[in-house]
Amino acid sequence: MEQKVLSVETRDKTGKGICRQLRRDGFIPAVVYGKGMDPVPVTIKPKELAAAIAGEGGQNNLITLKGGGALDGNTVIVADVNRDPLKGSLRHVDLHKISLTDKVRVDVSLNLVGIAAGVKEGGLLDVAMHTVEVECLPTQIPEHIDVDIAGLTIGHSIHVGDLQLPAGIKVLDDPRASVVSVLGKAREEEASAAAQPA
Amino acid sequence: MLMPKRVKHRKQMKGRMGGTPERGVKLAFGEYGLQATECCWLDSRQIEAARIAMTRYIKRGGKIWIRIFPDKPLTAKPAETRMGKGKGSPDSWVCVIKPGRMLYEMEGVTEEIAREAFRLAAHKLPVATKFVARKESHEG
Repeated sequence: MEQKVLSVETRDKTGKGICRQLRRDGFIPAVVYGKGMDPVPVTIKPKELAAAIAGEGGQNNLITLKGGGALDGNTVIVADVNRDPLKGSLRHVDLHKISLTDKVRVDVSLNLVGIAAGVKEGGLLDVAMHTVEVECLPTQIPEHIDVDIAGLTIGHSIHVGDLQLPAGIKVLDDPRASVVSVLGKAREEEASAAAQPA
Repeated sequence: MLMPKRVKHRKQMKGRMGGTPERGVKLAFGEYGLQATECCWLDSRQIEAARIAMTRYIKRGGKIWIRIFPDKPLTAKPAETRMGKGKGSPDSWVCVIKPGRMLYEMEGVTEEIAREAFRLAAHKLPVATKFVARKESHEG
């Protein structure tokens, strides 16, 4: 996982008034919290944050804080991002201070590899999960988890328990939950065609 | 036509459509989506007409999710009736749409087919919409 640097500036005032003022001035209100500390409201620059969560790791990138008094040098991950639903611009960010020796829970995206055999036969690929929740050390967070779907035939599924995970990573989702399956469109069409009179 | 099976109160007040929705604004199921950019009331017939338009275009080639549900009753008075004598009887069901609300989602088709299907569907809706794809949507 990539290590990024983010400049933060602490602020004294909280509430919607000051947050709206910060957004008008081109900043993003944020908060830093974690084990053994009180939440600290901070201000960050949108471009710096966009750079910090860029790349395949996205929100799971490890970020080292720069500035902000006592926060300087702490490692955080982005716990939550609030965006404008239409523009997509950032409205607020939660930064979770972590210890590199303690396990964290994060969502990791799934990367489907190959073309399912069932899709080649005319089936429909149904992706039920786009991310899985995993627990691991911060330095072991994978950028994505590859799911090989090449052998997936019509009517079959790959479940959470079937995922090939790197060492030291535990999936928290239900192992029986379906990740991806191929629906039998071809069979349905054949059946409907056979049912129709010639 | 979509409508609730059972409701606590048969008639509701109009209400207002201010603000932005907190939920239902992201792609949750499919690869592509149709997002409202204005507020409106969408009635069950409009929701169904848009669904039929895109289903016919994709010819059972993909999967569609309807992310909205008309759970608000509208009342109407009969034609040629004098005003007064109380509120009208339940007439139709609408869904309150606010800007940013994801209306439909689709997967299992190419982007061109999804775009065209959503364009046809958008013509059945009384609201401005935009096309969103998972790769360019704002996740998280």
